[in-house]
Amino acid sequence: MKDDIKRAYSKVSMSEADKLVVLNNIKTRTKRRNTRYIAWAAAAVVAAAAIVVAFALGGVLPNKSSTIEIATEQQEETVSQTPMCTAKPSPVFAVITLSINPSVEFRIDEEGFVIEVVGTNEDGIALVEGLDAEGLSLENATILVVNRLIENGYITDSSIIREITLTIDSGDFEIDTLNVMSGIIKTAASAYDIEVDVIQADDVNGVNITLAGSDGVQPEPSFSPQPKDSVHASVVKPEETRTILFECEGDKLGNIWMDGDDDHDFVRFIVKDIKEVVMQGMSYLIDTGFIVDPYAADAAILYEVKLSRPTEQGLKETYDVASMIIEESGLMLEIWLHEDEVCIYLSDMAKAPRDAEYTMNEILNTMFLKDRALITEQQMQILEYVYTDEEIEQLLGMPMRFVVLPNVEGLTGEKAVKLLEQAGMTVQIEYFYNPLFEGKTGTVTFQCPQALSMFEIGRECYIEVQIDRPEGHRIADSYVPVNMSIEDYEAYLFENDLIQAHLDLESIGMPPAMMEGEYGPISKAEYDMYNEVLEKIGVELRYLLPWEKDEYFGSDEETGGLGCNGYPEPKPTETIED
Amino acid sequence: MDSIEKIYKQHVDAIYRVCFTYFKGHKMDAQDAVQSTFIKLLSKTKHFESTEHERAWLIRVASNVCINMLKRKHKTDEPLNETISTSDEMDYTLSEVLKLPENIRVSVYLHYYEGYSASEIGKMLGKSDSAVWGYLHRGRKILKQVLGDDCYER
Repeated sequence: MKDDIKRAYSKVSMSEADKLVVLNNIKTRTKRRNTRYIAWAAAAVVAAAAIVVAFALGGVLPNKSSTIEIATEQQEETVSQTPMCTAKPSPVFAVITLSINPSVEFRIDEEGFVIEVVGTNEDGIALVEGLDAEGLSLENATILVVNRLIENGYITDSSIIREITLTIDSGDFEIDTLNVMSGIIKTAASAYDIEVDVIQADDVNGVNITLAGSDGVQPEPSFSPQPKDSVHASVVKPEETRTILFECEGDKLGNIWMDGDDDHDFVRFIVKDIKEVVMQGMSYLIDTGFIVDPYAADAAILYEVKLSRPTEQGLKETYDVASMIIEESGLMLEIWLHEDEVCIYLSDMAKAPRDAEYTMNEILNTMFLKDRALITEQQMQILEYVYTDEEIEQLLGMPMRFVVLPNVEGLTGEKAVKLLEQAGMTVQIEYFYNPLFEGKTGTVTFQCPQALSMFEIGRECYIEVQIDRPEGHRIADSYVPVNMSIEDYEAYLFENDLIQAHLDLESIGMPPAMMEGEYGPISKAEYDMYNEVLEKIGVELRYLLPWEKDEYFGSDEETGGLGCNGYPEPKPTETIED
Repeated sequence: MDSIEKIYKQHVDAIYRVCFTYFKGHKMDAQDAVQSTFIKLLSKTKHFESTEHERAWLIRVASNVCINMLKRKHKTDEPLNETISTSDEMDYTLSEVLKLPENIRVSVYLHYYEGYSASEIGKMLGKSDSAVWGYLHRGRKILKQVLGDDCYER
C-alpha cells in the first residue's frame, strides 16, 4: 500500500508554468503588503456594491428562491417563501418541510444555518416543542428531529409503510441538502431494519423516500441461522476460539478475563471460589444457548469453548467442575485437560460445518451489558439471537432505541455540549489546566442512557474539545489555547521562538518523550526536568509559565493511569504494520 | 535568510501535495493555498534551524490555511467535490485516498509519502500522537477494503 500511495502521489505536482505564476504572485503580494489595507478597503466597497446589486437582482429572479417542498397529502400546509425579494431582506432564506405525519419546517438562512424549526401541524408542534436549533447546521437539526421521531415512535420496526416525497425547484445546492437529510432518515430507518428506497428522479429533481416496515418486507437477518431440520445444524469455528482467563490468588480471589490481549476489555469480578467462577461462566454459556448439543434439532451455532490459564491450584478444580456440568447437561461434548488449559470440544468435530459468527469474547461481553450505556452492533445481534425484544428490554431495563449521533466537528465546546444534550445525551466534561496559557481546557465525553446503540454518520464518536473556546475554532485542536485562534497560536509559537526551544532541547539530547509538553500541558515532574537541564546550559525556559499547583490534575501515578492532566489513555489501537 | 525563490523551489511540491490532499484534488484551490502559505512565510522574520524544520513549519501553516479556506468555502456553499481534477490523470489509489476523511487522508499522505512519524504528524496537525495513530489505522483499514488485500503488503 505504501508503494501504491507513493506512486500515486509522485504524479501530483504543479506544472512548471503554474509554479512560476504562484511564485510571481507571492513576490508581488509581498511588495504590496504595505498598501494592502487600501486594497482591502477598495475590495470592501466593491463587495458592498456587489451585495446591493445581488439584492436588487434577487427581487427579479424568482429562481433564486430555495424553497423546498415535500409533496404529500399535507402539501397544502407547506409554507412557501420567496426570500430576499425586497430591499429589506427576510432573515429566512429557505424553508424545508419534512412531512411524515408530523410536519416540520426548517427555516434556514443564506449560509445554510438553521434559524428555527417549527411544527406546522399539531403533531409537528408537539414533536419540536422545546427544541432549540438556532444556529445549528441543517444536518444537525435534522438529526435532532429524527431522534425525536424515533423517541416518539414515528420510526420503529413496526412502522407502517410510509412514503415521503421531497420535491424542489432547481439547483444543485438544494439537491445536496435533501440528500443529506434523506441520508439521515435512511440511517435511522435502517437501525430498525426498515427497508428504505430512495429514488431520485432527475426530470423533476425530486426525491422519494419509502419506508417499508416489518409488516411490509421482512428484513434479512444480518446473519443466517442454520435450517432447523438439518441434522448437523451446528457450526463451529475453532480459529475464532477466544480464551477465558482465570486468575486467582490462592483460592480466595479470582478474576475472569475475557481474553489476554491487554486491551482492558476484560471483566473483573471477585469470587470466593474458583469453582464458583467456572460454574457461573459455564451456566451462562449453557443458559444462553452458546454451549449446546451439536446434534440437537434446534441447535444453530456452537462455539468451541476453552477455559484456559487457571492458576496451578485452580486447574484441576476447573476441569472437575466443567466436566461435571457437561456430564449433567448430557451434551455431546468432550472436555480435555491440556498442560495449562481446560478445553471443551465437539465430540465429532469433523462433521460440523465451520462457520460461526461470533467470538466468545463478544458473547461473554453481553453478560455485562447492564453496566454499559452503549453496546456494539454485534452485541446487539447476539442479544437478538438469544432473546426476544421484550426480554432484551427487560434485561437492560430500558426500551430499545437507537440514536443518530449529531455532528460536533467544528463546533466550540459549549455548542457541542448544548447540541449533545439536546440530542438526549448525558455529557460529562473533564477540565484540565494548560500551564502554557493559563487557560481551562477540557474533554467532553458523552453517552445516551436511553439508547442501545448510536449511529454515526461518518465521524468519530470520541471528541476532545476546548471548553470556552471562542467561536469558529475547530474542536479537534485540543492544544490550541482557549483565547487564541489557530493562526494566532501558531504565530505566538514561532514569534516567541518556542520552536527554537524545541531545537535546543533536541540538541542537548533530551529524549523525545520528554519534549511532548511543548505543544500542550506537561506534568510538574516534566517541568522540573526541563528546567533543571536547561538551567545548566543557560537556556531560559520561557514558554512554560509558573506552575499553579491547585489546578494540577495529577501525574500518571496519581491519577491511576488517567494520563497527565486528566487526558485519558488513548483508546486501544492495533499496531500499524509497515 | 535564503531567498524566497530557493525556499519555494525546495518545498513547493510537498506543500502543494498537502494542499492537494486537503482540497481532494481541486487544483486551483490547492494553488491558492500554496500561495497563501508562502506569503505567510515571508511575513515571518523567523530564522529556521534546518530545511527540515522549515518544511515542518510550512506543512503546519499549509494545513491551517487549507482548513480555514475549506471552512470559508463551506460557509459560502461552494462545492468542492464536483471539481476534482480530471480523472485521466487521477490514479485510482489516489482517488481512493482523497475520498478518506480530512484528517485521515492528510495523515496517510504525510506518513506514507513524506515518511513522517505519527508523533511528527501530530505536532504538525496539532493532534495527539494517539489520534494520528488512529487516523492511520482507520485509513489503512478503509484503503484495504477499497483497494483490496493485494495492495496490503508488509
